[in-house]
Order: sequence, then C-alpha cells, then structure tokens
Amino acid sequence: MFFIEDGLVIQDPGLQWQQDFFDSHGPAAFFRLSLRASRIEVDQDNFHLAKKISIMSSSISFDLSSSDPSLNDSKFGPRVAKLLIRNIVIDTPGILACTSRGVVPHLSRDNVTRTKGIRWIHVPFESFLEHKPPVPTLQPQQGQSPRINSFLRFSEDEYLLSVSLRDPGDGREMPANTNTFVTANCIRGVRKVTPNDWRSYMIPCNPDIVFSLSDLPLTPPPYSQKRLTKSIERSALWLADILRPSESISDTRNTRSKPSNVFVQMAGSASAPARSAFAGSLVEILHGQEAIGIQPLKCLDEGVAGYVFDMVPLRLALKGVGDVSPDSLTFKSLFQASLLALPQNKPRLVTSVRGPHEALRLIRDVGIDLFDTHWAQQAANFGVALDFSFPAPSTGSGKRDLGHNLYDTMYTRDFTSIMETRDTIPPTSCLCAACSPYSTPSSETISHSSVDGHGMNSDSPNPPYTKAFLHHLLHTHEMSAHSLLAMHNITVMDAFFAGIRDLIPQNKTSLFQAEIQRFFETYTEDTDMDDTTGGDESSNVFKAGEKAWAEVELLRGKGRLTRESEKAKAESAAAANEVLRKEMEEKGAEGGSKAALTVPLAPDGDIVVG
Amino acid sequence: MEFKVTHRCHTTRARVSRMVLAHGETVLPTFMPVATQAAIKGLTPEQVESLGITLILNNTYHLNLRPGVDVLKAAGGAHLFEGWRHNMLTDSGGFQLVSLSKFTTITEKGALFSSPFTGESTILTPEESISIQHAIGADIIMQLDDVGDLLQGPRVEEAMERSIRWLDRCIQQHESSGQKRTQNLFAIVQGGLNPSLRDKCLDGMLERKDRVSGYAIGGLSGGEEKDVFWRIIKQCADKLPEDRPRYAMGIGFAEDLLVCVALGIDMADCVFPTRTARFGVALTHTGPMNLKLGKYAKDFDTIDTMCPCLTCRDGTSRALLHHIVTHETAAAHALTIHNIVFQAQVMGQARDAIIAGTFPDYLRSFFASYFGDRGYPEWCVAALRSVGVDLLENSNIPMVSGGGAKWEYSDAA
Repeated sequence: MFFIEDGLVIQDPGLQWQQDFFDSHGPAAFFRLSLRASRIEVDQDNFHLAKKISIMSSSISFDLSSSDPSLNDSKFGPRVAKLLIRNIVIDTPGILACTSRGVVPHLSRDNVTRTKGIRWIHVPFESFLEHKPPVPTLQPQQGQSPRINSFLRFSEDEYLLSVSLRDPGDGREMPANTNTFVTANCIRGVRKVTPNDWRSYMIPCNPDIVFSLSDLPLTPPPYSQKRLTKSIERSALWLADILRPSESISDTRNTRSKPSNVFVQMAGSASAPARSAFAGSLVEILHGQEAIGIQPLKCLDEGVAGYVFDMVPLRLALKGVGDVSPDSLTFKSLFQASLLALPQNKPRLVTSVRGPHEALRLIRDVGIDLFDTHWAQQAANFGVALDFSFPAPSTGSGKRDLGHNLYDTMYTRDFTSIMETRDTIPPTSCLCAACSPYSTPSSETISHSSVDGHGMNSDSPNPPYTKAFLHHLLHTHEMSAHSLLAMHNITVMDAFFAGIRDLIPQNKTSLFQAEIQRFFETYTEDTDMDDTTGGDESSNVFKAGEKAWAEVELLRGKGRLTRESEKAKAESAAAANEVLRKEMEEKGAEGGSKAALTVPLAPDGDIVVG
Repeated sequence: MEFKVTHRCHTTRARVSRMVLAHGETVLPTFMPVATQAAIKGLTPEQVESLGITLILNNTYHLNLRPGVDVLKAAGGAHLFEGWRHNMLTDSGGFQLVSLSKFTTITEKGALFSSPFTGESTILTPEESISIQHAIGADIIMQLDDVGDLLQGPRVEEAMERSIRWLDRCIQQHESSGQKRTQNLFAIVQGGLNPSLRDKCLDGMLERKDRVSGYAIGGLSGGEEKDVFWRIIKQCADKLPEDRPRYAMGIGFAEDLLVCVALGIDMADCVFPTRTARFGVALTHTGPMNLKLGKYAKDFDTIDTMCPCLTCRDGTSRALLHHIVTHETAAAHALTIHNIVFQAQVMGQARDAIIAGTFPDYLRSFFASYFGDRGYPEWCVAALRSVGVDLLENSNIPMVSGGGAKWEYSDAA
C-alpha cells in the first residue's frame, strides 16, 4: 500500500484497496500493515524536504531547534519551539484563546489586551454565515492588515489569528456532510458550505492560518469503515481544493490567490488505520489531474503548515468503539498513527483538551505543541477559578483540586485572592487582572472636562479581588465575575505552559518526566463522570460549578418556566402578605395599614446576554 | 464633605462645583453610573476608573440581600469589598422595596416586606436603612423616604409628610453613629407632582439644612408628563440652598440631563445608559443607535468617531457590534463602556461650557444635533426658555409636541 519514491512515503492512490484489505483482514492486521509501511519512511530526507518547502511556500516559521535530540523517540517526544508569523512569536508548548462570534467570551477589548497570554486567537467562522457573503469578507481593506484582523479589531501587530469553519469545541449533532459541502451552524440555522465557498471567504479575510475543511463526523457514532473512508477522501480532496492556486476572476481583486498558511484537521476518527491512511494521503505524490491542481506542490503535505487534532469529535467517535476506552493510551496511539508518516517540523495543535493532565500527557507522548484554552474558558463560564501551577508547588497533604468552584458557600467570607490560601503557604503570584489588578495611570484615564482629574489617585494598584467578591458576583449573576475568571483562567494556562517550556529543553527531560508525575500526584484530574477513573459528581469542582451555575441561571430565569414559577411564588406570597398585614393591624401599628401597596413588578430588563 | 460652587452660567441656573468626599474629588454637574449589586454590569472597577468616573451608585436594597451586611462589615465596607476606591453613593433601599416587591406595606414604623429569598417578613425602618448604609460605607447616603405609589391623590401628601418625619429619624440615627465625618446624609424632597406639596416638603426639609449635606429630588421619573417633570425640578432647584449639592434621582436621558443642569441640578443617576447597552443600544450625539437593527449589519464605521471611549477608539465597527449584541457579554461590555463615556462626556462638556461662559451655546448645539432630524420637544423648549435659552431662536428646526425621547425601534424608523 505504501512505497518509497524520492525519499517520501508514497501511498497507492485510491483507498478502495485499503478498505478491501481492512474488510477482509480486520482492523488489527490493517493497522499492523500500515505501521510497517510507515516505518520504512526515511525520516531525515522527509524532514529536510518539507522544511525547505515550508519556508518556500508560506509565511510561517516553526523553529524546533531547542527540542531534545537525546530522546529516543524524538518524533513524539516533548519539544519546545518558536512559531513565528510576521513579527508574532508564539512559544510552544503554548496556548491559543477560543472565541465565540468573533470575540473572546466575556472579555472587552481592553481586557483582552490586559491578558498577556492571549497572543493567538482562534476564530470559528460559522457564526458569520448568517449573511451571504459573510460580513468580514466585506470589511474595507485597511493598509496591509488582513481583513479578518481589521474586522475583529485584533491588531495584526499583536495577534495571530487562525480561522476554522466549525467551532472545534462544539460537539452538537450536525446533519451529515456530503461530498460537496460541510454543514455548519449559525444563528439562522444550518448552512451548507462548499470548498469553493470556504476558499472565497478565506481569501479576502486572509487570516494568518486557515483550517482546511475536514469531514469530521458529528453524527451519532459508531462510524462504519465506509464512513471513515469517505471522511478521509473528502478531507484530502478539500485540502487539495484550498491549496489550489487561484484561477477564477473573482479572486483577482485580492492580494493573495490562496490562503497563506493552511492547517489540516486530522481525519480518521477513532481508527488508527484510518488516521494513518489519511496521513499517507497527505504525503502521497500526486499524479495527473490531481497534481496539476496543486502545482507547484508535489504532495498535499507540502502545502500544509500544521496539523490539528480535535478532541471533541474524537471523544464522540470513541463512544462508538466498543472495546476502546477514551484513555491516554488510546489518544497516544491514535495521534501517533496520524503523525508517524508526517514530517516532524510542523506545529501540532490540539483543540478542546480537557485540562492540564491531558495536555501534559499529549506533550509527553505525542509532542503536541499547541492547545486551545477551551477547557479553562469553559471553567470561567461555570464559576471555576483555576488554581494550579507547573511544576506543582510542594505540599504535604492530599490531592488538590485544579480550581475553586466559587459558587460554593465556603467562599462567602473568604477574603483571600484566588490562588492564595488562608494557611501559611505563600500565595502563587498570578499576573491576571483579577489577582494583580492593573492600574490605569491618571494620564490615560479619560478626562471629560478641563477641571477633571484632581484627586484621582489611580496610580497605585488595587489589591487582588477576593474569592468572596467573585462568589457574590456569581450568585448575583453579574457578568463581571466571568470577565475576571476568564482573564484569570487563561493566564493560569499560559503560566502552566511557560512552566512546561522551562523544563523540556536539553538535559531536563528526566526532570520534566518527574515533574509530570508529581503534578499528577498533586492534582485531581478533571474527568468525565462516566469514566471509570471518575469519582462521584460532588467531588469534581468543574461539575459542581456547572451545576451551581445552572441553578443560578434557572433562578434568574427567562421564558415559560420562569413565568410559571413566578406565578406560583406570587400566589403564596400574596397569602403570606395578607397574614403579615393582619399581624401588623393587630399589633396596632400606626397608619398605613390600609394602604397595602400592590405595585406591579418591574419588567425584567436586567440582562439580556448570557 | 467639602462643597464649593466654582463657576456659574451667566444665563441659566447651571453651575460647576467641587465636591470633596472621603474617597476623593468629584466635579459637578455629573452623572452617576449605577452598580446595583457592587459592580457596573460587566466591568471591573479599574475599567470604570479608566473611563474617568469618580462617583458611582450602589443599591442598598440589593447589597443588604447579597452579600449582606455581615459580609460587608467583615470586608471593611463596600469600597474594599468591590475594589472601588473613588466616591460612592447608596440609595436608601426604599425605592426598590416598592418597585421590586409586589407586597410591600408602608407603615409609620417603616416599610414592611417579605424577603424575596426566604419569604420571611422584614421591616426596613429609617434607622435600619441608615445603619445598613453605614455598613456599606458609601460617601453619600440617602434618607429612607416614603416613595408612595401614586403621583397624585391623598397618599402623596401622607408620603411627603412621612418622608419629613423619617428624615428626622435618619438624621438622629446618623448623628448618633459617629459616621458623620466620612459619610454624608442627603434628604429627599417628595410631594409628587403637586407644587404646593413640593413647597411644603421643601420648607420642612430646608429647616433641617444644617443637619444634611445635600438634597435629592425624588418621586419623579415615574412616567409623568415631561412638562410637569421639568416644572417640579425647577421649583425644587430654585428653592434648594446654593451651598448644597442638588441631586435629581433616576434621570438619565441626555436631554433630561441637560435640562436639569440648566435648571440648577448637580447630580443625576439612572440605570438607563447601562441597561440599554445590554439591549444593544449605543447613545450618541444624534440620538440612540439600536445596533440590533439590520441596517448596521454591514456598517463598518465606529459608533462615533469623536468618542474617546475604548470601544470607539479601538475602531470597533457597528457591523461587529451588530454581530455580537445580545449574544455575547463582551458586546454588553463594549456598549456599557461607550454609554458611560457618552453620559460623562455630555456632562463634562457641560462643565467646560459653564466655565467658559458658553453653556447656552452648548445647549443649542447639543439639542440641534440631537433633535435636528425630528424637531425640538416642546417641553425642552419651554424648560430652557424658563432659564433664558431659546432653542428656536435663529433656528430652522421645528418644535414638536410629546415627550420627544428618541428611539430606534426598527429598520423602518
């Protein structure tokens, strides 16, 4: 199925043969064969060829020079690198922040600026499909700025933007994709997006990084071998489409004829052979019409700037695979199956990783470079303030949670900052705007008249926000709680990866391994409740936070349920009030007793968002 | 409190004054954004501070429910609890008892109500209101007044009389507490829409002038006729002492604010600018802009190119705001920032104009820009004429009847 030509692993065109083999010999045999074939690959040649090409064809550079060459398994070992696009440097292992409708949830622009860990922002494009053409494509060109940066107001000097069609963290069931389109969600319903649409949106928007369309099933699992084959074929075909240089007239008004840096979402679902086959199709030298389509590229991978692994569709797919549990060994073997045949000098990105434990394992076992902060941002939504660091602090007693569920009434009078404890351990310094409130210098404070500004004493920083205050904001449904928590949680993730970067370089590998172990021993992992490793629901701060959040939402409420409970409450309160009034009369309270007020409730105009 | 009038408009009753409180100076006239439950919705105190705001309002009713007086006391007061280091004003809690609770009964002793959380019956007395406000620790605290439920009728007189009696109890409680040096008690003039009741109330409260730091005008903004509203404001502002700040409660529309300033008002508060922001409306010098409307979907301009707020300065387009309003909290934040700055700019420019002696010109240019497309509301013309500014002079903008509040309801409008 694979053969070598000019130092590259070449795959026999057409997947039918593989499928037949799979069907007749079973997945294990298929996988073994794939592995054997992949091992024939000549690492170094492939490496150099791909490196040369990546410099040639894209504006991205990924410098792996500081990874540890002493590692036996250097292809999958932990690594540190610098990713450079324009003048933006991203140190890896590192983070990218998630957005919803083009904004980092809960953060006004000044608070994005204040959160130094946010350098790379990932934008799911699907919310813009409610207009055709999508509004960002119409943004007037401002100098040399990519339109998507201008539209979303993320200065191209400060932020790197990547764009995918779908939100990688959204696992809701979707109508099936077809050979000609991907289904995506927007507020007006499901939209069909063809590869051609995607090209025509991304070329004018011109983000730093575009995820090519991939066929990642979000229909209920399990997925048949036939479905996986389709998924691989479509994903490869759609990748070829976005790598195709422009030919149509409509593209000529744009400065670029194709997106600058293309990342590919690794197809193959929960099947190692399928993942391996997809990787094979990337490095396969194309011939005939297919080759002409992507000229001057010889194979698809030459046009690929990075690899993306999506945890949400993968976890979904694993539910359909009876004998495989979604544990770290499974992820390791699946991701390695994807990467084995591919050059190692390209960034590897994981979406929707579930917390630091999983991230550490993926760095250690697969050499993953980048993680989005979906989990940490979700925790902020649910009132959980992260509190962990790497290397783990030395503590004596028991396992610690990764954060605090600040809905918990134990924080009502806790006037310590988020990462500070009431015992003697010195607080971990966190640089977020909740733990280290910044101070706007008087000179930068907006002045509204010539006589303003006397007695403004804002040059000294505020003390940190306390758990008690955040607890109050959460219970009163104040949006500020989530702003502070989002800034904090992203900052904790950024610091976590900085700690990892310090330990990976040369000669520190064994130390890194040891610190991972110590981290695992110090902190309780956030796991699924249906995992065998999970405890009961109340022991997980993330689940408890989500539950408390839902209760506050419900209490506050909107819609029919609220009106019903409101009605029931009003009836009982009316009765209670009658009793109350009689009591007052009996006690002979002066005046007013005849004037019981019945003023209608103010209309619920409190908050419309969230 | 240190209060000094520094400049006066040569035509209208408008004035600029310096008010120094325990947490710094605030220059008046000013608009106070409302941080109902210890936060301006969606913003951090540092953000509010960076917008040039030096005086915010907290609601006693809400803070008393959550986090509660005990927690506030343990934290060392609301300033420390919420991280706000500038000036703060708290209301008495009486207004919310009437507006939020269907089942409040007012007796001479206090306001009797059932807790919305526990259902247990509670009484808020004037003494209790003041001691809660002492625990909160705001720089300005308000007397508990009998808000009344109707703007007309016999209940208004009763409420007005009772408000004077309650003022005495509040003064008593405040003076015996030892908080007088750091916290300042304001009286609230009641009397509904009845000029003679207002007069009676003013007389009663002016007798107590030496024991109060300022005066508020209550009982308005309840949907009364605009023509009645401004006359009551004028009647009260004219009679209130020069050397005390005058606070119009619940006023937030730009035109109302400027009319009030011209009539001699120094302070105002309203949830309107921050609440309307959460519904997707940006306030501008040409009127409110409803960013939910389809006409903004492909509008790549900022809300207002002249606006110094972070949202406008950053270049956030109406199209982007249209995409996120009412879906993302970040949109509420962006518009809250803008609207707070808009209100502060309207008042700040008023201060500058009063100092420069050009306040009548400022009024004319503001109203021309704001109402040019629709015509001046009759009541604004009448109110400003009462203090010597004629909007219609040398103007081809017509006068129209009705309240005149501007709103963008639909794309068709």
